[in-house]
Amino acid sequence: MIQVLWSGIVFGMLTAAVALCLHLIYKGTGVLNFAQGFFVVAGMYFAWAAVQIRGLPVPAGLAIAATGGGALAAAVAVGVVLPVVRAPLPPVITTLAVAIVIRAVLLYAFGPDVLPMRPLSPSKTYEVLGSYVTTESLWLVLTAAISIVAILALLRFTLVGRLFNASFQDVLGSLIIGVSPARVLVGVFVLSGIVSGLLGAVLAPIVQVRYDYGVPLILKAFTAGVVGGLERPAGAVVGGLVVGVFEAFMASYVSSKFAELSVFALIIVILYIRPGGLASLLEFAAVRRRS
Amino acid sequence: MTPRRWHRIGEPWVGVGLVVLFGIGAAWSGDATVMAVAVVSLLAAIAALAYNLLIGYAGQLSFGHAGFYAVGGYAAAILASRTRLTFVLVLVIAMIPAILIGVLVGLPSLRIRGLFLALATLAFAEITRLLAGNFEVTGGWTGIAGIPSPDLFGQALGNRGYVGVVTALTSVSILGCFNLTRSNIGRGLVALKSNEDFAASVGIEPWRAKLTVFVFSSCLVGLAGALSVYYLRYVGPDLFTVGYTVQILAVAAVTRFVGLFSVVPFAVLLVGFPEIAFRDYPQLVDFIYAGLLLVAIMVPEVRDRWRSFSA
Repeated sequence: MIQVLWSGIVFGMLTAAVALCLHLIYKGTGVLNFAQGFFVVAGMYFAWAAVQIRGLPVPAGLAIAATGGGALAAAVAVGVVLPVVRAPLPPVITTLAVAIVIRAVLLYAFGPDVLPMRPLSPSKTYEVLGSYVTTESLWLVLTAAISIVAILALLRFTLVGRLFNASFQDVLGSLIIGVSPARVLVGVFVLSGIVSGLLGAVLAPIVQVRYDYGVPLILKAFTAGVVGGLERPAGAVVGGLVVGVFEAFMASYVSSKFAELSVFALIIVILYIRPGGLASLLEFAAVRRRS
Repeated sequence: MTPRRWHRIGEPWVGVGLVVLFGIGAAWSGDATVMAVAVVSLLAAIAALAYNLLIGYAGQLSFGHAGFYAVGGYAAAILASRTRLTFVLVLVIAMIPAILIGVLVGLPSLRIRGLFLALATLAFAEITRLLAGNFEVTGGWTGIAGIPSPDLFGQALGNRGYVGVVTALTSVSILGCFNLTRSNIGRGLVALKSNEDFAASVGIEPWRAKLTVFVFSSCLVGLAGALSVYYLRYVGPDLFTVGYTVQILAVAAVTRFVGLFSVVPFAVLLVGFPEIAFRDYPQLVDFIYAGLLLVAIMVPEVRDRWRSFSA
């Protein structure tokens, strides 16, 4: 029971961090970034190339994965999102196309096999409250938690973050005081690219390096967004945790075959009941309280 | 999308003419590779037509076409390998599940809009793929192989005959799509896309028009899926990835800028040719589609910018 909860939290934190990146990009540009999952996958390959193949030390591997993810995201932002961002649907299609391009390039360059990745620190297992906690899962949870806190702190306490926030709330108003929407767009992409690259690096020892991890990951992050709402950072994080725990419980108590599938089905069911996501209930309640 | 005068009379017939010329040419050549290109391109053309209706006319962004393709394909494969039904009956019956699931997915699409619809339909496509991979009936992850060759009126259809059947069905789909866009429903959709409240106020029922086009589109894609099974003699979950949706999106996007009649030439250029030329590197094919799709989306924007620079 606690073991299942823990594994749910481990992948829930991953989903939460990815969903937070989606939230940033959604607020900063109005685009749902379908390529986000493949930023994480690209981070896996960067870390794998640095640590497993080149034998570089782990901090260097993490730095390379973060830089690589950030650079990839910057290229995507400037190259294919910025030119079409004013139209309502094309940016979504271009991010999906970018996702397929990244997938195809990785498949072409490294082949379809799952590549093994060594643990980032000597593998140990601790027993906490009767459940087993591996060092790899601790790496993932801590990295995700630090990324989430860092993003939230950046938005709240630094000037750049406050300017981002201003642009999220009112693009025109912030433009008047000199915040360029294009720079905010590139900024949120780079920030979420760096975080995704790091997450890829710490995820690689757990699930191994695989090119096809991007689509399920992005769909889970979307589910988190639908459960918690992409409008608020807290919604994305809570949604991510809920999705992770839900999948873990489905996998161990119902059927491991259909766990992932039931998460995806959750998107359709929730959107059918509340087309704006479950979080729209909160706004509804807030309005009702006021009136 | 820009209405030009000569389109009004000639466009559907130019489209059908191109299809028939292409089909006759391919069948006449008798070359197996050429006929394979022809079948693959024509099937992509049918799916792209369906996509164009949904995105171009109804403005509903769906990423779920791989799912409907899979539904049609699996229905045809199961019917053909488990029963003794003839080819035509299998095709007709295989469209029924595509229609039913079209209604099932189309109903929420009336409530869900824009980005969230793209999400929900992508989830639907992945669910279909995972379901197909996890059940016995659909052959699990290895799929169903050894589907019997198609026959018509008791005669076995050769490769030539099959090209003929696919050509005829593509022509019918082109005419059907044109007729739908000129019917009340089609004109209603154009009105709905520009202003839903206004359209509703002049008596267009949004749900009826949207649901009709969604179901029509999923039925066409299901037909293409069923036809593809008879050509490949195989069906499996690896055929219905997001990559397939992007291929069809690429054809539909490029077609939209030129005119519906150009769907077959573009399908040959974007699907048939790379499929054969890069047979050993399927991942490169994905890459090409996605790249072309990006270009097709960017082109009008870049053009507008260029104009504002030079003006």
